[in-house]
Amino acid sequence: MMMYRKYIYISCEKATLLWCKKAETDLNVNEAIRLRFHLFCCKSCAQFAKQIVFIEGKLIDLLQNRAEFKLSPSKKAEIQQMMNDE
Amino acid sequence: MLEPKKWVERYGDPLFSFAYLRLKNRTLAEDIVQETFMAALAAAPHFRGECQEKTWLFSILHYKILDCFKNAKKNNFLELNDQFSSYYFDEKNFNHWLADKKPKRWQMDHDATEKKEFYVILNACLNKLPDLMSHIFIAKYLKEESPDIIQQKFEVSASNYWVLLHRAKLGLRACLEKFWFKQ
Repeated sequence: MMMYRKYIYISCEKATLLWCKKAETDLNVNEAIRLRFHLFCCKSCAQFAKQIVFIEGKLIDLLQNRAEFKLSPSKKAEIQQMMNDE
Repeated sequence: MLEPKKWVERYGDPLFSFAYLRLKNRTLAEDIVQETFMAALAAAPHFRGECQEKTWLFSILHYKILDCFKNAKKNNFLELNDQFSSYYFDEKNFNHWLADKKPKRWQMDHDATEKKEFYVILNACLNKLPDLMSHIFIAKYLKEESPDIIQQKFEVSASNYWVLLHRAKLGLRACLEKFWFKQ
């Protein structure tokens, strides 16, 4: 077992990097196995992975849906008026 | 086929949030969006339909924002150095988490994190990131651009892109833990 561990061992830095990468692209088999093994053994990185998924959901909500990121109705009306006048 | 009369209603909000997040100034962002629509209207006869209306408007806005940055000499992108990762990981311990930087358990209570205050903190944390990192986040989560497009646009290599994204997420997570989840 120890012998195999040596081959699939990665640091927390590498594991968190792979987790971020995994959200956007496919990992190769080697990376995927190493990451899965690491997350199984490391509570901190498992916590990190869970929290990043949560943050991504909140970021999408913040950037796409929250009122503070929308044009005010008065500004919309002003721009529309200017465009109609052109 | 362009439909200028529907632009403000269709694209006003996404263009504004893109500009606001990059410029971090509401009035300036509103003005840039207005300029974008007016420039697009003037350029409409030359639109060849090689891309979607939305993409075209975003690219005009993108150049308007770049001009704005050039004028303000504000574009101070982060250099990729190793100090960032040694802030979280212990080089003397095989790059595992530093004891005081290990992610703690969060109470991800749905009601609490739906409050406006949570989004204020999240936005503040996003603004605290170095420019390049927050711009990449915006391109990714607001414009939903693919990694290839983002790498091209910001002229970063694939490996630097993953490193930047990793660091941005580490920074954002740590900031939220400090200012929201520690309460």
